[in-house]
Amino acid sequence: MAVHGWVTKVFSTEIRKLVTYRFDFWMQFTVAVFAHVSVAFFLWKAVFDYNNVTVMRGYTFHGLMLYYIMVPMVERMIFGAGLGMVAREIYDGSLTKYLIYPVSFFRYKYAQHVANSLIFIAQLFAALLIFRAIFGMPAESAMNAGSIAMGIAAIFFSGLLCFFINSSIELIAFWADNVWTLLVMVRFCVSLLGGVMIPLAFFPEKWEAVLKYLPFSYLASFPIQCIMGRITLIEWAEGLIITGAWAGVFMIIMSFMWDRGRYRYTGVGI
Amino acid sequence: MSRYVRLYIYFLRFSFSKAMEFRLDFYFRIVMDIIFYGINIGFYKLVFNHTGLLGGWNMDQMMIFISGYLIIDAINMTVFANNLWMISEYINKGELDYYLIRPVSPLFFLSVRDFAANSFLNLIMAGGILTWSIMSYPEKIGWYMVLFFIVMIILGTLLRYFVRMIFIIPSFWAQSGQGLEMIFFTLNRFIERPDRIFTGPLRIILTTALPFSIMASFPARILLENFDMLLLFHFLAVFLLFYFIVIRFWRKGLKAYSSASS
Repeated sequence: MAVHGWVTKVFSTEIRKLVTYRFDFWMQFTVAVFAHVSVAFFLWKAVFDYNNVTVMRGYTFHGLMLYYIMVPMVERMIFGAGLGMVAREIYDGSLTKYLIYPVSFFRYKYAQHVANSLIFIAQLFAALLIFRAIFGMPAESAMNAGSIAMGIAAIFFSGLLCFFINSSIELIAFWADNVWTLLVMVRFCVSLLGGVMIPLAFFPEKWEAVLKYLPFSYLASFPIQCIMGRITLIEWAEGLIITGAWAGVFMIIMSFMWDRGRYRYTGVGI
Repeated sequence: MSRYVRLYIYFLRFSFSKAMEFRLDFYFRIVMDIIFYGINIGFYKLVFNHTGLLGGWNMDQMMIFISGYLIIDAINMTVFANNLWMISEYINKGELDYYLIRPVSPLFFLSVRDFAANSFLNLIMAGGILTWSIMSYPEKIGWYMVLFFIVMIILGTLLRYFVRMIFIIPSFWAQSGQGLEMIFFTLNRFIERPDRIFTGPLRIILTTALPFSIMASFPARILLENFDMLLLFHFLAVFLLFYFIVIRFWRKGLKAYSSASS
């Protein structure tokens, strides 16, 4: 089968799976955005009111809200289908069927990951349009077609990095009985050190400098900063190089674990 | 009653031996919860670098509030989490029969059967954070008030359980309960913020219809501020209301259960 043939099939299957329960899909999206933004709205309103200022660490209150509205969607695009995509196959023995497929297991899984991410692009644009129509764009925002294109490219790189990190962890399933806790640990780290709970500009400067070289910020904050137009072209290129370097490191770890782990695989399931 | 206590002791024994069987998972869970505690405290430390008060509390007071909701999370992870996660699946797959034919309350059996022994250590750790935050609090807090706070936190945990059940029970009528459960987990983050930062209609909703904001905030307010009878009455009224709603809703759900999978 030609490459585009099976990729199209994987895409259409994944998208059909996602929209099978359309009400659930849109309801979860609406509640996630509402909860994330309203928690941030009231928390930062209290902080801005206490300080009686209009700008904090380069963010107006309006700009911060734009940041928070993008967080849940960008995170979902980067993390794709979520936890357990590979580990589940190992645990229930269904990895066997992939081993006899005429395509690489990881290419197949990555196609699934991208398909799951793509559908959230529609949600991101819908949310941005609604935000712009109701509240307008924040004064400090330099968002334009170029910054959105930079952001989409960053999301693509971040998605790849996320896929390699998650797969490396999930392959521990060849040796351990349960790996979901490890995946949750990564999500926890990203939520604080990646800028999901609070933008990295609010960290002490020393921390910010260190976080720039760790992978976490590239799984949430960096693509959002790109879309908001808060990143220069040089910083963007630097960010992509760091993301690519981390993706390379985790790809090597993943390949090593796959080579070792699959010889332990019995196909019986647990 | 003694039959239920005996049964629960059997659940505990079984759960501890199971936890020892999967040792790696046991340690992973402990580390996971430590990270969870770390990011929650770290988040507020960062916020307090930019403000002196939040919801009327300073950082010392906030630490007591944080330890309150960490205990709620730890009790939930230890006693309920493993069990509640499965209920909607049992309902949708028609696998509830096993629980319905037991000579004990099915709701009790389904809610507490699997005790997460590995999370129990984290409950001790959350208790340690509470002890530390009370000891380092600049004003003296009477032991009876601490005891009262702990009782209210336990009630807050039960209230969280009732609300969670309200999000699970519609599985009796729906094809999949997962969507609603995801919504619950999204809304759950309201527990982790002091109630007084919320204003307007959202505040009314979060203190009545979806009472996430009262589970940890009200106990902390009663401990840290002048004793407010109205606040306590509000907390207990919501608690009792949700208790009765869950019992009635569960019975209605069981009547709709057909044993066939959907």
